[in-house]
Amino acid sequence: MSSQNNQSQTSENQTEQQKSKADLRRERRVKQEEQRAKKATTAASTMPKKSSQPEKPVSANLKQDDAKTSHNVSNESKNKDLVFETAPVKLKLNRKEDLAESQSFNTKPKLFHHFEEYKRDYSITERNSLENSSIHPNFLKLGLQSAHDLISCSNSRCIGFLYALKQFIIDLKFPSNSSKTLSEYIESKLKPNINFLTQCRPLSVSQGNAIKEMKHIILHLPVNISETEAKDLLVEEIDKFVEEKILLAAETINKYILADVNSIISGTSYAQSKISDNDTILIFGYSNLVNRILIEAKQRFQNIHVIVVDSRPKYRGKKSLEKLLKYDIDCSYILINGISYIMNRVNKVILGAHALMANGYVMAQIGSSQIALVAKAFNVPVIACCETYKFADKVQTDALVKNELGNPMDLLKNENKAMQNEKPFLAKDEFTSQIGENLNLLNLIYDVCSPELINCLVTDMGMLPCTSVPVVLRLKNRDSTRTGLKNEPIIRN
Amino acid sequence: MLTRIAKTDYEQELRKFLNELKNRELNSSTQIGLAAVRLIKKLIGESKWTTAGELLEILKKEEKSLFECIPNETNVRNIWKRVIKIIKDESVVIEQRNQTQIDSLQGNLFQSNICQNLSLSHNELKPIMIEALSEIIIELESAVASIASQSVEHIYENEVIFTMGKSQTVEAFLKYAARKRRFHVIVAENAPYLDGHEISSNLQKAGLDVTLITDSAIFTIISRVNTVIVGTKSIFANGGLKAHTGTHSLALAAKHHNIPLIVCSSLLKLSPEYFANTNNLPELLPCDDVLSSNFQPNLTVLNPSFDYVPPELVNLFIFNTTKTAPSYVYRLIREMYAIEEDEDEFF
Repeated sequence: MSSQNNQSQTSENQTEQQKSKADLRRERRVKQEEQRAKKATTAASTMPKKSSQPEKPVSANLKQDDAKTSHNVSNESKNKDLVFETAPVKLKLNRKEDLAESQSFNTKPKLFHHFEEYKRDYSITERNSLENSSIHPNFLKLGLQSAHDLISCSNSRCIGFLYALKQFIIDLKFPSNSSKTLSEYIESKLKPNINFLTQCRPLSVSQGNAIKEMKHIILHLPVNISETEAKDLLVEEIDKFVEEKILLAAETINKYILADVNSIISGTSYAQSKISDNDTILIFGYSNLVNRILIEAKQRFQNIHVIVVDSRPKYRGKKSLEKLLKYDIDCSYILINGISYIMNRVNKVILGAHALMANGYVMAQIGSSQIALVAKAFNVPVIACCETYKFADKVQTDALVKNELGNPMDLLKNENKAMQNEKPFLAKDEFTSQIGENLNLLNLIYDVCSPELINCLVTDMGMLPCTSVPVVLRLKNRDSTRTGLKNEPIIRN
Repeated sequence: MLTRIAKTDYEQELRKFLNELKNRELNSSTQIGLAAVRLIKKLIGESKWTTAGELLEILKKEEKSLFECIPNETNVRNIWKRVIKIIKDESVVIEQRNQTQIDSLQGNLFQSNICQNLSLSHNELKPIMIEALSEIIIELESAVASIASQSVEHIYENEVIFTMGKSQTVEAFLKYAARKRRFHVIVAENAPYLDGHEISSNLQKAGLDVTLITDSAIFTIISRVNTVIVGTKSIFANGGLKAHTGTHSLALAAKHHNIPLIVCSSLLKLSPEYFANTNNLPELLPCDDVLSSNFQPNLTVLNPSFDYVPPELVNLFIFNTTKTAPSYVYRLIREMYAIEEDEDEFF
């Protein structure tokens, strides 16, 4: 769009130098409007009937590689029958109220100006032409689901990304006249999709690691490989990643904690299960890894008691609670401000992690470090569980140098149905006007737990102390540089 | 006790008081204290007594039955015990009118505080009691202002202060300092009742920069904080706090980062009881406030009413008349409450 503008300007300058600058500007503006109107009508005519969104040209804000080439190729690479989910459309319409409210508030406190602003107060799809954009519908779906917080768990986001990538690769058609190699072509097509995902919600560490791995594989595709062979290979690699690093890893972690005597874990046997009968276990929020451990523990030991700690604003613990109650596990529920009350009755604390930093710090849902601190004060052991694919090469010492901000308006919601009639004080009409300059709402998403508060880290590579994270990273790097494409099983020194 | 028909004015007043407590209409400790003083005034006025001894018996009996209904309202009990101490003191003063009192630790050991002669008559004692009760009322009403006036010594320019829980005292403290200093306040929401919202709104009106955070972010944010200032529901005899839920984890986080924890409270919140007494375990408030009971009928949902904060985690107490460390609290209690040597409780 911008390149077309430039061309029109230069031609006008050459031909009509007599006219004044104002006249020229007026003419340019008229031309731009015409071009825009033209584009809108052509787009509207080819739009599928199900979608009811207004079409707007691709905005300059959206960083895309080559605006022109993407327009040409998009129609070929996508399926002709674009099936639009009705769910995203509904969500967008609801957010119009949020849109009006949040646009008038600048709620970032001065102390925390270095955080990236919570940008999701506009509808992402409004700024994108869905028809002519180069974003694959699966990525679109994933992006919208992440933005509207339907998928929040890091494992789910990673698996969602990998399956979207799989479908993307299957749908990709490599043009025979392209000057690029297959690797370069795939990468260039993938880039706008990843940018879109980042716009919807900053990528999680799990997604980042998966992208790195996949890019590495794509880059190292053999040169003479045919398109179908390459696609098969990539699809196989993606499936392997999900199978080994996520699903099998979860099973292995289970086996380490529950010491299943029948399992073979490199010849060593962990004779003692870390969970015993009649234990009271404390968990925080929602982590499907931890839920899985508890469900298996219940099957082995009939008598375990679980205390679910929950926090505002998202109340993720309720999801855990529903899941555990389905398996008949004896549960209690308490909010995070009450942990001092029950901590002396707890035997152990099991925390799920979002990522692990190279200096041994555990990045988890906000509130986890507080629970670990109180557990330490009451001498309760803290076990953190994390798959090795979530280990990151970054270092972080506290959660304020770098974090993700959630929607500050969530603090004004009260999702407790029993108190639905009582809005939080600030949500009442007479007080919302105070939010702005001097009154700020801070909604952090992640928390960084120091290794001295964690007693043990359970990964698919074994039960390690938090300080072993750089060792694991070194082994993984050595492994991937050695093999290049196919990952051999990691041999422990 | 509540099943009796309210015959006397006192019983009506009592009924009203208990209902207000149950419906949470009395919002601050000052209001609860004032209501308790009104109650005692009625009791002293209406009941039939001729000597100080008889009045003491009546008060002690009422106390026992009252606190079976409201075991967690320590402040009311404090005021009751204060009044008993005043009666005993007056008797002692009149008895030993001509002797000089050595009010020291050694002196107390050798003196007997038990008044042998509780025969002060009704006519002598009543005006003294009425005066004493109005002194308590004045103290209750002026406590917040006198604590607030000390705030300028503790808050400096460009500091970050952290506060949590609903406390009229802390609000006044910060508002007074806001007139003279510019600083930033971070307030924790304190689920499930979300007291933090109201406080942050009031502080912002007073011209302060306020940030509202969730409870789960306390440990994260506290590394950037200079001082933590909280109020409390009452103070135990060892210097420990009976505070809003969440204060213990806040205190632990502050200790971990070596950040001073300052507690602002009036002297009337000092209680001669200890946390270890069985009637001092946190009662559980309605679980519906945390999670609707429609969620799952047989689920245990916990909503503790207060947190116990051990005295090692508190750095400073700011009272209306003095400022002390938790280790000196025993002396203040000694001055305020009488000791019964033949009972195992402070009385």
